[in-house]
Amino acid sequence: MLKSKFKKPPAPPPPPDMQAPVTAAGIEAVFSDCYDFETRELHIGGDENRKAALCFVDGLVSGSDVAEQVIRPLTSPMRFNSGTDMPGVISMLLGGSVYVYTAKKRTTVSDAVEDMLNGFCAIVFDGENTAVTFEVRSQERRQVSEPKEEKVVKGSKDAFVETIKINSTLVRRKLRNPKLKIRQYTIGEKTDTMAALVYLDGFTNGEIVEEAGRRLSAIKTEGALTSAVIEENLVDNPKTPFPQVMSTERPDKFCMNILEGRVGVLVDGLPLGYLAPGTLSQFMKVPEDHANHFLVASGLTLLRYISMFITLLLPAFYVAIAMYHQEMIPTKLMQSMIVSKQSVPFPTAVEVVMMLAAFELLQEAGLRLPSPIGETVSIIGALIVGQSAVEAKVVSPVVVVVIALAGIAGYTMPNQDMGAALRVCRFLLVLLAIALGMFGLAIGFVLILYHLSTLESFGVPYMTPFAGSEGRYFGRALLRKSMKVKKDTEPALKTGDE
Amino acid sequence: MRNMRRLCVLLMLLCILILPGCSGMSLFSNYREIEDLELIRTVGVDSRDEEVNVMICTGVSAEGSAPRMYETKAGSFGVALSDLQKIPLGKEALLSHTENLLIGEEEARKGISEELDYVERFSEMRLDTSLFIVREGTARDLMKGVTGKSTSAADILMRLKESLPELGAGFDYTCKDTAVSLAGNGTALVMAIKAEKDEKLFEDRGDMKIVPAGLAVIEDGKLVDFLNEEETRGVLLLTSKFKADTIELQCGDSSVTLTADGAKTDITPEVGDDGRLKKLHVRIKVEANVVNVHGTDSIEDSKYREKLQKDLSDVMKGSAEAAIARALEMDADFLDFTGTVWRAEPLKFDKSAGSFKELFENAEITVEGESILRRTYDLRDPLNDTGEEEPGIWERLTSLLKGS
Repeated sequence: MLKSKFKKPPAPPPPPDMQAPVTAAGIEAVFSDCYDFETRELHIGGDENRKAALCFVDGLVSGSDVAEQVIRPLTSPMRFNSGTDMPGVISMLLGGSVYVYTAKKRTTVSDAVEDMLNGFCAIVFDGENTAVTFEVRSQERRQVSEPKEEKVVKGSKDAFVETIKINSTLVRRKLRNPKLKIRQYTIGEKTDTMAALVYLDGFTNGEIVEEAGRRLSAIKTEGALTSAVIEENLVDNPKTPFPQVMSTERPDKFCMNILEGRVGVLVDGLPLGYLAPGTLSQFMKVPEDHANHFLVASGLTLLRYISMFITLLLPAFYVAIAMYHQEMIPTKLMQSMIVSKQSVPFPTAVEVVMMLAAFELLQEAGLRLPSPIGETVSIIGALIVGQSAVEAKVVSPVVVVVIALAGIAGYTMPNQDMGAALRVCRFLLVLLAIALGMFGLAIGFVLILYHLSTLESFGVPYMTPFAGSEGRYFGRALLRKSMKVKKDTEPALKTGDE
Repeated sequence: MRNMRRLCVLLMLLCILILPGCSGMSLFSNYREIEDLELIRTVGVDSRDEEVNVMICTGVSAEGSAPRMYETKAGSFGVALSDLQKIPLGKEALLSHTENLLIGEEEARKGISEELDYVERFSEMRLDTSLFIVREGTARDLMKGVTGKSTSAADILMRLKESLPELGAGFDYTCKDTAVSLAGNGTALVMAIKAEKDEKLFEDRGDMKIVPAGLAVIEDGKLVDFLNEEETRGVLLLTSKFKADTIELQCGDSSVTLTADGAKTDITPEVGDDGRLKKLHVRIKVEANVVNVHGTDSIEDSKYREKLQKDLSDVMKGSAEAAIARALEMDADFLDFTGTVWRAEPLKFDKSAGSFKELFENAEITVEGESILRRTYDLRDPLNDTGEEEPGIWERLTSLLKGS
């Protein structure tokens, strides 16, 4: 049996008391072994008898702001003359004697440390067991740039970044409404990640807001550093491959969904906004639908639905008719298929599964590699390998066409998660079609429909408006009305406008 | 967790299914690889030494290889086809793409019920397979005669079926049409074709060609007679299957060629209180265009055009009268007059009062023909100055809607 080469670590020192009254030593104990933690002694008003400790985490705060806006006024004898005692100094600090717009009085180590981790510096008055914290965040953050994944031609060009404050500002700038509420939550036992629940007060369904808040509060995780932590804890059914929470990097799309009656979630560190409840029709929309002419937008939406069926059913349909139901193939096409398949040594089933697997491989390789190499891999895969495979009679051209068509149709899905779910289902349908032909395909399709019909997201049927609304809003999902008559509100969400 | 494990096991088992090369792995017994199939497009049936001779023929393949033919003899059509499905060349015959079923005259006179029965019952055969009777010959000879290196019977018959509406020489009746008609009133019509010697212009073609040969009348499942060209046109007019025809008329001193372009037929019955048919008025309206005038008469002359219209009406009327007379003579309701009258007067007409002849012989049947020359294609009169006002689109649409 292999043994670890590491010895058993010595017993850790007792953890610092976070609820103790705040002192410089208490804060230092919390940040022991942290090279980026800085502390220095300050003389209030230049008076050596009135000492305070300045504590901050280097990198999280702006050094020049600390020097100019905190240290300089605090050490000025003109401002803090020797006649002012410590409680008076604290009172003056909170009253605006330094030039920082946010100042908080903290009495416990825990509160002071939390502020420091959020870009505050702390002036600790040991004798008073009090700290005053000032927001002097570092501006070293990624600037708002164009969306990388969800590009549009006619639409705003800003995208969410990793900083939640910037993201909430982007939302606030688009929805200038005092009813826009941004509730704060903290997620992650070890990361204390800030999250925000965004909704329109009095408009968004109160039950959805409360349920979303409850689910955010209930997240039990060590760290909230990835999307999956948020998504899997927000959804009703984490086992289904179909996405139930929409993520977007576009603030305009985020706001459009808030206007439809959804709640949004922003998380610090993630350049994405999450939207719930998620419905199938929501995943088929793109922001450009609202930018194009309504006839064009409606046509493109219909095309996406058709593409969804093509990507899901075409390979399985091909397998079924090529293996079992040859009478369904038009005679001329059948003759061509026979000729093209004549020299291929593999049965249809193996051909299709092999091509599907190859397609997934190419896609994965293209995604994981840096973009110039990724593009090369795609070209080599699609053109050279595909053509060579046909010429070498490893696969028939019809199979290549079928798999390529299904793959291209899959790329029209506006949401990558939905595309991935359809790919999983496509593979299962192919296996069913191999075993049972059209019956297998029909069984698989009905099971998928059944599964989708049983899904709910925050109490809203996933198939809305195709199911659950008695067909009243069927057209809304497939077509877009002219903006003159269109209402933003999603009827199934039962908003305050209903 | 347990469910997840079960699902994974199930998926792995499903994946294993495709590994052994597929054959035999299918849960569904109908599994066939597409390249192991031979597409049969034409089936021919003939009588031979008290048995049935069945010939099957493929089409020209997509890569251009010549059609293949196989034949066998057996006690019945079904047995012969079953034998042929186990094709001696190692491929399985797929009958679901059969487009044509040809029956030789001799076999048709013995009866076509067995063939129709097989087409109806055998799931692989299609009910919309075209049915042809080979007049004065055998299906085998016709199929062999027309098949060459780059043509098959199916290709030639496909062309024939496409051109039939333009020729006015018949109609593409399917097995389903025939079976339904036989089941309905015991009589059916089937397109008749004939093989004729062809001047062989191309080496890769066969040395025979297929020509329409009227309509075959089937009664009680057996071929009883053929209708001639005029009667065939009459049948097409009376059963609203007339699409077009080229008619040559001797009008005045000139020979005029016309294309009749569609016809409208109204059949108005008058049924007495005793449930018997008293009168049957047939009105045929044909539209035509002038193709060619050979002679001294002038098409610009409105009186000449009127005469031409009258002559054309007489031709159409004569065709309809000939078809009706033939139906009464044969006591075969292939025009479906019984059904037409019953649909018009379902509460009064007693269709079970007698045979077709008994129901219609004593009725007064009148036929009225009308024809309109639409275009003369005369360079001096390009816009049709027939003296009659051309109906506008709106009038045409409303008349069409009223008609429907």
